[in-house]
Amino acid sequence: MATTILNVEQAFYTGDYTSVINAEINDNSRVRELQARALIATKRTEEALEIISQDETSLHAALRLYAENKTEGLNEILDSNPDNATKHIIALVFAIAGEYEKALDILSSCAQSLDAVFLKVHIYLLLNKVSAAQGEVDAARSWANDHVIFNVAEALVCLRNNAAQKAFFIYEENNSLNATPSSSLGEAVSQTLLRRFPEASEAIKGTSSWDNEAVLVSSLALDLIQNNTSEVEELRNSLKKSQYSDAAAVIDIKEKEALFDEAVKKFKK
Amino acid sequence: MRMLTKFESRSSRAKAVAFHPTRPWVLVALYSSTIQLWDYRMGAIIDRFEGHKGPVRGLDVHPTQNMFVSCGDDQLLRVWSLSERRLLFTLEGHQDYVRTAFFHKELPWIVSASDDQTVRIWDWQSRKEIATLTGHNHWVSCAIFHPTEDLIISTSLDTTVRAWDISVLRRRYAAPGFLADVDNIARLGGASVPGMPGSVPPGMSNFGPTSIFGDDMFNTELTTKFILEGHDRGVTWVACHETQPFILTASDDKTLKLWRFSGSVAWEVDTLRGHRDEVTACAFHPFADVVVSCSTDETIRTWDLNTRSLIKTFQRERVKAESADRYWALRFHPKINLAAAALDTGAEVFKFERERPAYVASPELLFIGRDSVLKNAKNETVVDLSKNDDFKSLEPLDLSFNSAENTALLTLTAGNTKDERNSYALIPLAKTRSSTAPTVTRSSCLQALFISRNRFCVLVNPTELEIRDMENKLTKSLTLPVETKKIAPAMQGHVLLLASNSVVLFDIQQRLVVAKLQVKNVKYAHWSPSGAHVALVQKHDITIASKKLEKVAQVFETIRIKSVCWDAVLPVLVYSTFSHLKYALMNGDNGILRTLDETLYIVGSHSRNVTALTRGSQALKLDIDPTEYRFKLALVSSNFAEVSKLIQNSSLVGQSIISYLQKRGYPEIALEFVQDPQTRLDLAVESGNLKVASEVAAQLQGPAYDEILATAALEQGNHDILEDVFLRQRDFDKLAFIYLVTGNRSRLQKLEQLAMQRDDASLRFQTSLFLKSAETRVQLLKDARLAPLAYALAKSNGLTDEAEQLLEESEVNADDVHITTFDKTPTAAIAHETWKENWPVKTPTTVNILDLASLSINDSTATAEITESIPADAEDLVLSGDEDLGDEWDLEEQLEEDDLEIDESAVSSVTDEWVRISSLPADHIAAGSFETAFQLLSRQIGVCKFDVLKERFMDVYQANKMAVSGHESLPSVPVYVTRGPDNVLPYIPGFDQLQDRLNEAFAQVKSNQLELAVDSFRSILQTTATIAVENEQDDAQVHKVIETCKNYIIAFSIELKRRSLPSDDVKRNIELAAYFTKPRLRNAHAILALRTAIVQASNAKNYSLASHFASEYLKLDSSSATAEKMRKNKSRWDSAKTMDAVDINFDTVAEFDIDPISLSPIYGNQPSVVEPLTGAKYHASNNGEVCAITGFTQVGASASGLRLRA
Repeated sequence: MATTILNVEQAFYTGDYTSVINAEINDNSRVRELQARALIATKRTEEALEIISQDETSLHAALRLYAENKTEGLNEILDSNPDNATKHIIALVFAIAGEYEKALDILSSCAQSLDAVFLKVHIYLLLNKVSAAQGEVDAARSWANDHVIFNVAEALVCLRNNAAQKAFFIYEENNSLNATPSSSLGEAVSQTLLRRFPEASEAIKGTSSWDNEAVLVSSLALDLIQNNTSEVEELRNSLKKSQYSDAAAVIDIKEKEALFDEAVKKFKK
Repeated sequence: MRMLTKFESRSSRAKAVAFHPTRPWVLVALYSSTIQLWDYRMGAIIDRFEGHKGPVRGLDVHPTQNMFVSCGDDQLLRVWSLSERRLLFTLEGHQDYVRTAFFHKELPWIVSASDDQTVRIWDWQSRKEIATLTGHNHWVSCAIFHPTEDLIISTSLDTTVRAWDISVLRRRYAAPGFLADVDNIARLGGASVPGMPGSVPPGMSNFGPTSIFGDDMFNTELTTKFILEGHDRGVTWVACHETQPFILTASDDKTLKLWRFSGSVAWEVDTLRGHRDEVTACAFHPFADVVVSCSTDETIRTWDLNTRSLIKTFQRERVKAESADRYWALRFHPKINLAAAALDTGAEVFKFERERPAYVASPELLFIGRDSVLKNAKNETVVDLSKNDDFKSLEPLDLSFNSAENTALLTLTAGNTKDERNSYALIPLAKTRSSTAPTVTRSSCLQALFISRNRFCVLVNPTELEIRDMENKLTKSLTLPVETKKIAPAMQGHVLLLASNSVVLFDIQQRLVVAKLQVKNVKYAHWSPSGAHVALVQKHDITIASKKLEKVAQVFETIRIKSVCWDAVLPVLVYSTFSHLKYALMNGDNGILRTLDETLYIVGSHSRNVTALTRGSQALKLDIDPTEYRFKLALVSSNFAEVSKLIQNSSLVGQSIISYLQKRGYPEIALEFVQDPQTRLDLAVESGNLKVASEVAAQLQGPAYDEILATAALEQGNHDILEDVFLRQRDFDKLAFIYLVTGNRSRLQKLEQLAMQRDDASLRFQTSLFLKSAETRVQLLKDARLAPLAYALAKSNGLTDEAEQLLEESEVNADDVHITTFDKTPTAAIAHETWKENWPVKTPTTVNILDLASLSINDSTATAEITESIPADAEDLVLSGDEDLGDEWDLEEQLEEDDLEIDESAVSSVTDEWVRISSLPADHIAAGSFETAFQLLSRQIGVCKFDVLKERFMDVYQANKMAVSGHESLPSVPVYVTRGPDNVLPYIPGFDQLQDRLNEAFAQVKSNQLELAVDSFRSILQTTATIAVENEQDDAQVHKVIETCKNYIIAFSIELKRRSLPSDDVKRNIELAAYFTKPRLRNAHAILALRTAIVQASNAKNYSLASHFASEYLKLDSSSATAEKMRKNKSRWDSAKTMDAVDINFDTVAEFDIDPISLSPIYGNQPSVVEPLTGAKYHASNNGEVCAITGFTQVGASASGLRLRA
């Protein structure tokens, strides 16, 4: 259980939402913000709204829209010249709606906000702009003070920028502070990039409690690399479960299978 | 002097470091027993070498052989191969910790120092110890070979430094029989140098393989040349100057001592004091008069070799505040200006000097390097500042030149600390003034730059810019809108401000921001000769922008971009990376021009000539072949005259250019390059060039090709070609229909005659229907003895006579035949005789570029039309034209944000990149570009049945894609598993498991599950067809696996076939049993085959055949009980002296292959065809069939062969 703000942040950014939600630190707006975000991330919208409704700041207005997943009304909040935390949430809602450019535009005015850096890095990587993401991290390094958000953001970039070893150090450190499936996944992926497949398999065991698309996709790749035929079968079946029917990776696989069949038809002699 | 860190690794305590002489690798020895191999340029660990028990203390990489030596507390030296990444051998002998081990530059020797108080010399060729040097009376901490003299210098905790003369050992080593002597002495326990038994002159230090603790009792010719005494405590390290007789030692007494020697005399020159704790290592700078030392006081210090004074102390920030970060070792790179150090928390690679010369390229080239000599393009000295005291210890950072006043403006850095300010100097270059020394204006600043004929600007601090005149008088002071890190020139009265997040074009007169572009950390800006574009150089990217700072394109690199330069005439950017000279076009396309032996800074490019500066500050000229970019430029600007000229006059070929053309939408041009008929067909169809397509299809001769052609012809409404195709295919049904719909009655009639000749009833029926010729049909029905039908038809068509006759002949009762009312409309007239010419339904994009060339020269309107017919994205490409094309192009106007956005993402997508740079099917599969993968597979190994590969495709596609979670509520971030040293191409699974899967299949053979085994081998073949490997060895191994699979599949297909034969087919049974022995199998399996053959042959009383196989058997197995029995049987069969009972098709003498489809022999003189993947031979009659071995490739397909390496 998280007992200090630092602990709560560590837990939040390494994906340990349960600890964040259960943290008992009263009267701290940052903790309440993270709790609300954790609840939203785990789709417990009702409880999130309960926390959010305790206050009436622009941040809470933004969080409310985030919980309800609505983009209408965001611009009004933005017009009131809100603080960085609020802008970050607004940008996040736009990003969820796929409006990445808009999100980046909002974030560009968030000076010295690690949340903003993290979100920017994530968006850049989704847009495959690795050097831009690297630039964000480099620019933030001097003032980030080794904060957990910065480390997680840096690890993301490292994985895409041929620096898996560094990413591994970060995930390993996070895992040693507070072991979470999310950090274990990072550890497993970085070990895989470093071609230490047995170690990666060991690390990915730490994700077993987490039913998540990224875990399945990564485990699948790792088992394919090691030719663990039965596990591959199992994972492919898991991915067919209905809860992942709209997951990007699953759709991609379906598309690729169709693409293959189409190509076969085209090449049929 | 500054310390620029290039690479840092974090790990447990590192005790030694060593550079690879040629590759960007550094080895780090850890206290935890591991040795790491890092690529310091990529910052990635490449490998780790485990083996030492306990700490590793010493490391050295051989200067030419690809191997290294390590030593440590397990008292062993280990020699490792870097190419094979494995331990080669260990050297045992030391009886305590081994501290250092170094290779000799020429001789195959290693010298090692140990706590057992000895220094030993080893021969790594014979892997033997050849000498032991005793004399130190405490632990020996370090021992090295002198770089030029025949000396070993060793240091010890006994406070002394000893120099040992090894010239005798070298002479003896060269003598024959030396190593044999070493052996003898070692065996006999002798205690002397080989070849020197007996006489022992006293008073000399001794040596000998076994006399470890001996004193001066024994003889040796390895004398101590001199002993250096002076340190107060133990000596830890020694370094020798490469050219001068200097020795530098480091000691626990916190000092360094510099010694000089001459012959056998040596003396102390000076003591370097300053370290606050034990000095752990030291080194001479490879080219500057500087020595470097490191210490447990957590500093690296540099000292002036001439004055022996401290130059600078470097202390890095601790990784963790509470734990110390002591330095343990220090090494310079043997060739490059780099150094590496080992610390408590890992290792770092750094350099002390900037190597980039400061230069200005226009209007003429001027540059200045470390030597402080300003030179011009001819390498002539313009001004020599090295003698000027004002420039002492200043490093030129940036140069600006004013041609009007012939004055240079130099920004200099003292570089002492990070925060220290730079200064600038105005240097008049007038010839007459060369004698008068220029004065340095040491005003503190960040940078200074000319902005007009008589003004320069000085960046005083990140937000303040001063404008000064030529007298260095302040005229104006401006506040800047952004935190500016650097400034770069721009058009008159403007300056470019390079901030950390953006580039700003600033109008100095109006103090206005003219334009702003969001680009991060731009280091340099280079304007195109016309001033219309600017290239903004970041660490790994180049952003090309217009003069209004609108982004035009971006080029991505994985390694650092060193310099860029615009071509003087063409809109091409030439740039250099660490090892390559490359070009970029204005649409973001880039490519390699040539590799570079050394890092160069490109300062000028004009057609074939490139001017560059070396790190040693020399200007030189390079030749390049600009064909590739000129070709792309010509394409982009639709200059087809140039395109055709280039195609005709230069050797511009290759997969890359073809795929480039295809991808960029110029299939018709790609067609001009391709010889391979299959590809030509694809391209011809794609570009709608039916003429070429039909020629090629006729040449290829296959129903599949005809089909492709027919489809394309139909789409274009070209029934002439359709007719040809259907004729060739003898597809008369379709042919008849074509004639019908085009109204070609005469041809239909001909077809009807043909049908009669061929006695093809159904075709006759159909043509008669199409021709509405009832007579023919009645006749047809009559022939078919369907009298009632014939009657009905005749009657209904008003052929009364015929009907009557039928009634008579066939005894049909007219009442029984029910005749439906018949529409008596006469045959419709043909409204349009389509058959007379083709009916174009789709305009082909056919462009004959050779014709085009003449057109574009003679008639500009024709070119314009053709431009229109070029596929859509060509329009984007037109953007890349430059002002040279003329104003009417109005580039800026056409530039729309959205287009660029799309273009950029297309360039940068990871998987697109894989497709772009690789021609391996596996990489295309991994990228999800299945269609191109199919093309490659079919082109390379003749794959014709793709569906069986589906599972493998999905495996390859998914095996390199992982994901990690990032920000909450957003999709996970994709991560790609890559392969190879540069981590660009995707990881392809399968290679590591090939051997295991083979073994599994062998096990299935052993347990007689032959169907399963054959399936297993086939599945391995599927993997090998879609795999990628990294080196030649692995490549060869895959080919070996393919060969094995081929042999096993054919062998067991034969056996399976034999088992399924009816029991009475004796002849075939023996034949197959005999063929079973033909493919090369492992001995254990070959025995099975032979035994089967023997049993079948002897059962059928084919004794001489049985005897033949028995003798084959005995070649493999001569000792077992079965072999004994076999011998007996054989002699029985031999004595039978009867002819074989059954005559079979099997020649025991001649070599032959077995056709996998018909399972019959192919003798050398018979025509045969080959399957491209496995190389299996088939009878020529099986050409075009699906291969019976692989099940997915085509026999006799024209293919370029399996490619496994990118």
